[in-house]
Amino acid sequence: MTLARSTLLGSACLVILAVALYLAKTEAERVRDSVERMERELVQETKAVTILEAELVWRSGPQRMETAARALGLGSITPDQLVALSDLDQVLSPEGGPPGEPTRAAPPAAGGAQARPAPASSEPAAAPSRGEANP
Amino acid sequence: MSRTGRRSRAPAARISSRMAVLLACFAVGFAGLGVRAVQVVAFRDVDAAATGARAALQDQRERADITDRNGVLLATSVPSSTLYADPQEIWDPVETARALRTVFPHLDEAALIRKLRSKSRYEFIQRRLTPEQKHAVWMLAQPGLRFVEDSRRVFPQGTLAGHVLGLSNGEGRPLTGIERALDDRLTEPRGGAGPQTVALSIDSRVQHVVEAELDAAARLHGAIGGSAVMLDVRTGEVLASASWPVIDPNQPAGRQPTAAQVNRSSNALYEMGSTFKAFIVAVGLNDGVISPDKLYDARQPLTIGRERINDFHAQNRMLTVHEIMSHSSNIGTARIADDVGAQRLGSFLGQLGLTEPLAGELREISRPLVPARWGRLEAATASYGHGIAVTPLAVTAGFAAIANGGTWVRPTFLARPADAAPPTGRPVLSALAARQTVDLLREVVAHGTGKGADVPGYAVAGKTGTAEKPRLDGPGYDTNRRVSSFAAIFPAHQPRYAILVLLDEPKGVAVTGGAATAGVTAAPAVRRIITRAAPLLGLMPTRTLAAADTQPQSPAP
Repeated sequence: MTLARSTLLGSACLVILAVALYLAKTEAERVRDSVERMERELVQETKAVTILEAELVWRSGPQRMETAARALGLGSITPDQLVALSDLDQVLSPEGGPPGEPTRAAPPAAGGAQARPAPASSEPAAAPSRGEANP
Repeated sequence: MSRTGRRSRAPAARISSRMAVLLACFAVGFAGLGVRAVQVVAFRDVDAAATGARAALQDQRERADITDRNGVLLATSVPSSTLYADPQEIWDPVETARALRTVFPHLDEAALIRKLRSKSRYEFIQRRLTPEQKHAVWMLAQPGLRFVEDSRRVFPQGTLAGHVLGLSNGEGRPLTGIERALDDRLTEPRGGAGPQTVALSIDSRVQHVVEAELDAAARLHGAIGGSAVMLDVRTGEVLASASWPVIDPNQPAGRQPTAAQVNRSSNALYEMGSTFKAFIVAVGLNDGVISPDKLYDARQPLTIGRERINDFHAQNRMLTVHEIMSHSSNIGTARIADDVGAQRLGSFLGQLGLTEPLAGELREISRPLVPARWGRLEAATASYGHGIAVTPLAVTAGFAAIANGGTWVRPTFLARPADAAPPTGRPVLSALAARQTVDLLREVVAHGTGKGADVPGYAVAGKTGTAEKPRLDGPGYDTNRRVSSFAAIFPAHQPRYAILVLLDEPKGVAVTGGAATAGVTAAPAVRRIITRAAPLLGLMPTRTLAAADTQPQSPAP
């Protein structure tokens, strides 16, 4: 009787374990498929990102930007457009106002300061001197 | 009977106990399997990197990206496809060939038809397809066309820094430039991942400015070639290195013009002419054999042996060292070379890296042509840049040594970490001699032959150099073929950058009054480069508002 009960119990355990193992394996395969599918998508997206990054650099490259800027009437920054932050007040003040433009900071009641006429450029012309040559 | 019954019960009990033990063992075994099964399902940590798709991605990224110093992409690898055909599956070779030519017009139709009619199972059609081309081939719906997935190297900035990045052959194998020089580093996996990105010292914004202005100058003057280099004088980092005509690294070497393939900044030798005068004056000041006000006799041409040294702009008077530089007097510098001594001049040029190839990252580095022995005549001619041929990169590094207070630093094309200490370098000049030389070079731009390079606010210091090229049909020099160059340092009061622009065989044009000397060809190109590049580099002009009366400031509204 004991033997029969033990056999029955063992067989039941065996069946339960077999079913559990089957379910576990099936679930594992499903998860693995899911992971691999996601990774394939990741690879495709990564490839797409690589191409898009390269295209972005190409489209925003300095040559294209310069052409576009010229079409918009823009140009390169020149040194005379730069001013230190500490000098900004002087630039915006009536005495140091931008040439040819009214000072924005000064209200009309304060005298309506007008900027002085633009001084002549002091940049030396690229004189066509002949330089030198060596024998 | 009873004995018999006892005998039969005893074995049964033994069997029962053995079965129980066996069953217990099985139960323990299956329980272990059950626990493991639950563990696998519920708690397994999936190693994504070990799975097939991810591993395939890592395999495809076999070559690292290259960026500039600011992280802007210069070279990368993108997925690509190779198209081939299986002629056994082609229904109509003529139809397929004509369909393919709608996507690849450059392919020869007759050759395609021959391929598609062959008996083989593999006929190569086209390499390095873009995704658009691949899609277009798909849309042809022609049987027998197949793809092989691979990787393609692309340079999204086109010709920008093409010579630095390098050329490749038709199969994409690097032949020159950083791509070849750092091939191992670009392909070596790091820490279980793919190879790491390489950051160059190049600043793509500055590189563009330098290339654009070199191109403009070379075209304006009809030069056959040109070169421009800009260095950070403290770190030796090459911010820009341009060679003209340019190359497009996206195209294989076979499709590049032969004249464009050489990197004229590092792999071409030039007799630089008077830019070398900065070096002879620097060593003279360093050794104490001259001072800025010392007088030299430039009243008559100097004769050494059978050679006669003249001045192009003969002053025919006594000249100070200031004036020798400003008027670029060959006679004066030849006399300074006499005072310095031939051996000392030769060793000093060696300390400046001008007599040996610059051992850097690039492999395309030429060995300078230097005199076999340093005699009086060799020193005299070398003092004004003749009889010694060097690369523009080496000369720029020499000017950088003058600019940074007298330390020669090996130029590098790799970005140094921002927190890294400046390289030690090799002391070649005293700080005083370097400072005095910079001041003399500043005078050349302010009052001498280099006026065309002056940029208000940036105190450019530099030296012109116009050298006749050696004759092609015999000894001597050709007066009709010249190399014009201008080497500069800016800002002169606190030098940060050294730059050189060189034009090979520039021609005179109307705007220069027919002249093709450095002062009207290379110097203005340097001025335009500094004007555009200095703001990009964050350099503030040194003018104060008090000087605005003479130097207008027009801040953006």
